[in-house]
Amino acid sequence: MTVTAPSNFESDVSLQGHYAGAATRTAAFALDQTVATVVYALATALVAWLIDLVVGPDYTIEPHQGVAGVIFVLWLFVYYAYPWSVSGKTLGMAVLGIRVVQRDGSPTTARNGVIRTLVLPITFLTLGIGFLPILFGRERRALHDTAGGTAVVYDWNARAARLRFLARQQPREREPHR
Amino acid sequence: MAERRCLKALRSATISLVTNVPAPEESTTGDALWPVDAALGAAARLTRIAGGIGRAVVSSAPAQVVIDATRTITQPLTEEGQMLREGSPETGTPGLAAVVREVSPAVVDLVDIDAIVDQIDIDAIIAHVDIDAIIRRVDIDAILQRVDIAAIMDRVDVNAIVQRVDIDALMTQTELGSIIAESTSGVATQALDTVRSQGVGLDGFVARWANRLVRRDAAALPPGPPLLVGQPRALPPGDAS
Repeated sequence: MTVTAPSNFESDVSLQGHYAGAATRTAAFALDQTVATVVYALATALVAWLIDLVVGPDYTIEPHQGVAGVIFVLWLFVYYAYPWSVSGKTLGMAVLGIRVVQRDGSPTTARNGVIRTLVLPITFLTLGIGFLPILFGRERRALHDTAGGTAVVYDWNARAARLRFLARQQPREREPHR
Repeated sequence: MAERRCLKALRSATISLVTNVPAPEESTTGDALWPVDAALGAAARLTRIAGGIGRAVVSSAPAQVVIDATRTITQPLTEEGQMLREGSPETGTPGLAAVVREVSPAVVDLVDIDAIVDQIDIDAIIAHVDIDAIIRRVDIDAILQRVDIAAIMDRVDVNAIVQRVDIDALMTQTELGSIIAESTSGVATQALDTVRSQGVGLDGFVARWANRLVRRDAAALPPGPPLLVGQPRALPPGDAS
């Protein structure tokens, strides 16, 4: 298996604005899910602590699983729909350097963000079939991309990254050999 | 030795006579030369008196009559001399001025200018020149005000200059690289660059295998949305003919 070396920023520069691949998108989604879940867990723990602080330790609160699930789904909807509508990228996508755009490359709208978010669970419900176009489609658009009229592209400034890499090489090259 | 002193005294007396300026000190002092000085002083005084008398005589009416008569008598001689000086267009005889003009180049050719220049110590001359004083007299501001910077800049192709700049060499061989490295060499930045680059490499690896499975030419695929990477290809590469 051949993986591009970290120093190979030359080819990355030419990929800016191109359709993002499956690996990067998967990593971004995994990071987003982790962040969303951790934030939700912290928030529920904080709420529970506050309730316990108010009513005292004599009362035990057993949250309804259904209500908690609905709140979690609503939280996930907000977590994905809002950034996709406003900036086109979630926290995980920003870290991985990808962005959601409309099919022609223009910035996304609220309609794009909301539809994409609503259809995302359906893509999972197809047992992964909805993700296959990322691998085999001409525009690498999953089912929720097609429904929302969106595509995912590389958005990170690889040219700046290459210059940073070259700059980091300079002190290393100037170090005297021991 | 005595002859030299006499010559000096004679020169000073002559200068004093002509310019009415007091004579240099070497002519006014020296006990051994007092007879010479006295004689010269007497001669100078006599010359001044004679000059005054001459001017009075020349300006008198009888003298003017005599001068006019002389001029009339010598008129043929004057004309012949003038002809000799200016030349005669009728006979084609060149004048003295023309002769001098003709002869001068040949005379100049005979002069070895290089030999003369070789004898001149240019360095010594330059050493006497106060360059700082000359520069102080030059008004740089006035010169700059007459320069049209905009016109010069219009003639400079900045884009062409920028194209010739080797950014990679600039980054690796100058302090600019260090400055950028210091400002952006945070661990988070390096980690992001590395993760993203690794992701791009992994994407390419997966895409190559996917294209191989469906036996598809990756070059025929659109690289990205048209607004971000230009218009999609109408035909795959090689079929554009």
